[in-house]
Amino acid sequence: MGITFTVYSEGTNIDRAWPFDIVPRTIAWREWSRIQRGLKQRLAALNRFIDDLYNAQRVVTDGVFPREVLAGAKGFLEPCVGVRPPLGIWAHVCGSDLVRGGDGTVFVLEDNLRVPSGVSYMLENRIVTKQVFPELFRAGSILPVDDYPSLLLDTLSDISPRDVEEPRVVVLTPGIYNSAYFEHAYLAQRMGADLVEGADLEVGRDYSVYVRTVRGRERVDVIYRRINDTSLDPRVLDKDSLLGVPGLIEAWRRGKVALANAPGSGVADDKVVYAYVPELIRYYLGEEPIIPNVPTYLCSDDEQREYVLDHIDELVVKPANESGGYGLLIGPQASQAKRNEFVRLIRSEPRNYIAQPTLDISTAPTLVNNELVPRHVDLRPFILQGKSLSVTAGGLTRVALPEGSLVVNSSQGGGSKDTWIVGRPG
Amino acid sequence: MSLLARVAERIYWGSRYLERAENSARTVTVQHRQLLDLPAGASASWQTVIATLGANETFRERFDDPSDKLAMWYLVGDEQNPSSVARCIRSAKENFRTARDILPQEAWHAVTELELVAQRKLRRRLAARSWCEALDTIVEISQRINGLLAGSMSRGLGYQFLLAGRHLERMDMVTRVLDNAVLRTSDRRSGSIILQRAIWRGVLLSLSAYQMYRQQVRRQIYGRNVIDFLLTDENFPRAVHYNLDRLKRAIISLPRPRAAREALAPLFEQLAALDDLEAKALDAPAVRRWIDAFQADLAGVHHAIEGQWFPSALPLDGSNDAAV
Repeated sequence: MGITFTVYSEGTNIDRAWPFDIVPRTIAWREWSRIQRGLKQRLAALNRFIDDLYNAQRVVTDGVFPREVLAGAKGFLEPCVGVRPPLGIWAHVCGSDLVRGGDGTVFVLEDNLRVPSGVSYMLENRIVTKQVFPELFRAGSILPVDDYPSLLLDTLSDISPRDVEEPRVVVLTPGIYNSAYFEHAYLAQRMGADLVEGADLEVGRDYSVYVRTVRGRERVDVIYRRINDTSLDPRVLDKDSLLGVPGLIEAWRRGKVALANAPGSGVADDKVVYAYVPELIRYYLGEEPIIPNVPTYLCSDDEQREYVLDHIDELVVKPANESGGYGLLIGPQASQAKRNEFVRLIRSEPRNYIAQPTLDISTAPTLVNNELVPRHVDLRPFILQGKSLSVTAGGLTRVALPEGSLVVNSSQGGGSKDTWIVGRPG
Repeated sequence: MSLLARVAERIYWGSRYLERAENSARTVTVQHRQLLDLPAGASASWQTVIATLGANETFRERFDDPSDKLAMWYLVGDEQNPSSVARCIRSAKENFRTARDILPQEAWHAVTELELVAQRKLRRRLAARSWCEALDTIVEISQRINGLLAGSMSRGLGYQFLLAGRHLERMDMVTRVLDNAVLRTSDRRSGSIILQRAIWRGVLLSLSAYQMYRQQVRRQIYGRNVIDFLLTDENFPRAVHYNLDRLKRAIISLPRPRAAREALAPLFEQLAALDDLEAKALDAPAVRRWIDAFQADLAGVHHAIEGQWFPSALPLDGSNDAAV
């Protein structure tokens, strides 16, 4: 198949097969069209929020978003203050994780605004199911997903600092040992963009960014970066980073190059900030949130923390700034020792933890040992914002393969399914 | 849109390693099959192949009095030998991996297939017969990769670096094989005409040149004819002259090729001088001196390519800016 995903701790084996379940998961168009609107609404509000935080901070002075929460947000980057990226957009690519609860309600579980991955698996999964079930596709009611690379290229071209017909877009990867290297190469290839490493780029004396080619240096307009904020520029953030480009942040601040997502976007996918998103939607857009949040208890709040500590055996506790399912406590399934450890952690760093009720997450039929069995699933659609907003038709359905497991992350042994949006009228 | 300097370098090296793996695979199988025919004690032991493939010193350091089996293992699957077929395949894959957005996808898949064969068959200690089967598969997949590249890759800059690597590597390999054959046939112990002919036939087979030699030369297999054919034929795709022409074509289609083109000039001069040389009379020392000089100039071309187009050579101060 050719899809691989690297798990950092598996020694020298950097290619691991990606477990794929052939049974597609279906969602009715009628429901999807509502979800799609909700996702666009959410990203639009989040972008307004990020832009506000790094500039006027109206949301803070208006008392909607507490200053203490901002102070504790690790994703808030000082060097980004005062920057106005093109179109006022910071997060151009967002992967939001959705789950369906016991009563059928779809919730947003989290937003990934830094370097969300998985879209290549969504595209490849579709290629496989098309090969296996061609006759179902011929009926014509399954929405296609393969336009994503073109939409991404459009979004990236929208933010080019130079007004040229074909801005030079590159994909910046940390390199072959990164778990999502396959995806970086995949997207670069399908967008016709160069796949670059930090060492291929340099910032000139004119603060423009150049790529080293066999013809010499050529100017770069847009960098779709798949390395973390802190690794972007050894002069500004992580001084030891070998992955980044010295001077890149300054080049971006001066508007000589566009970065997608903009550094500092991660401030809005902090899990404490998450709890405020419904309020932010009302504040910036004057609209009611279309997709609800999962109820969230903030451990920084005395009252809510006491509730969490009293009910730790019923709740899921998450660190505010981690991703990939690391450092998580699933109360009902954890040992007493593990719960005690989390009680200590929450007491020592309350700002760093949130808790949510254990959802009765929905299952989908999954093929295990040639039998169809229920397995828990979530859904990660990808939302793009440039001059316009778009959402993938469906997204990546991730499935927790071990029986009863609720953890779908690919770094924790999850697999994936194709997702079919069906029944669009006309 | 032009090619990243780093990607150019990886493509060039990926191509060289791929070519090297294929040539070594063929050389080893030919040697194995030939050993079965030769009288015991004839100077065709594995050591001579190891010398040809440029891995003599580390081999002597690591093994004293090695068996044939061990010598073959060293060439086929030994990960510690940088010129073993398995290592060349791994190096090819590692280089192509970071250039895979440039390669046609099917070609990259075939490269991973090559690595799978190496992992399952070459790196394990199997019977010589199984190794040879695997080596045949390696040659076959390599040929398929070359076909995929020829059939579906645009003739842009990336393709030219691919060609440059391949042609340079091929000239290097042909001259090594010839050098070794000259050495062996000038050894007094291989005096018999049958043995001599066997050695030269082995040379032709390991460069898959046997059939084309027969068609082109239409004479018996004599050392001087084989040398002449493999160095000066302009039409056979593994002959030095052909590859030198192609290398030049690839180089002059790259941006600012002057330095590299100048580095090619001495190679053409040497080929032209071959006629005056005693090569045809097969004066072994003269032929070997010629080969030494030719290989030194090949290395010069490599350094010129590296200095002109690869990332380490590009200045950081912007003096090399392209027009934008």
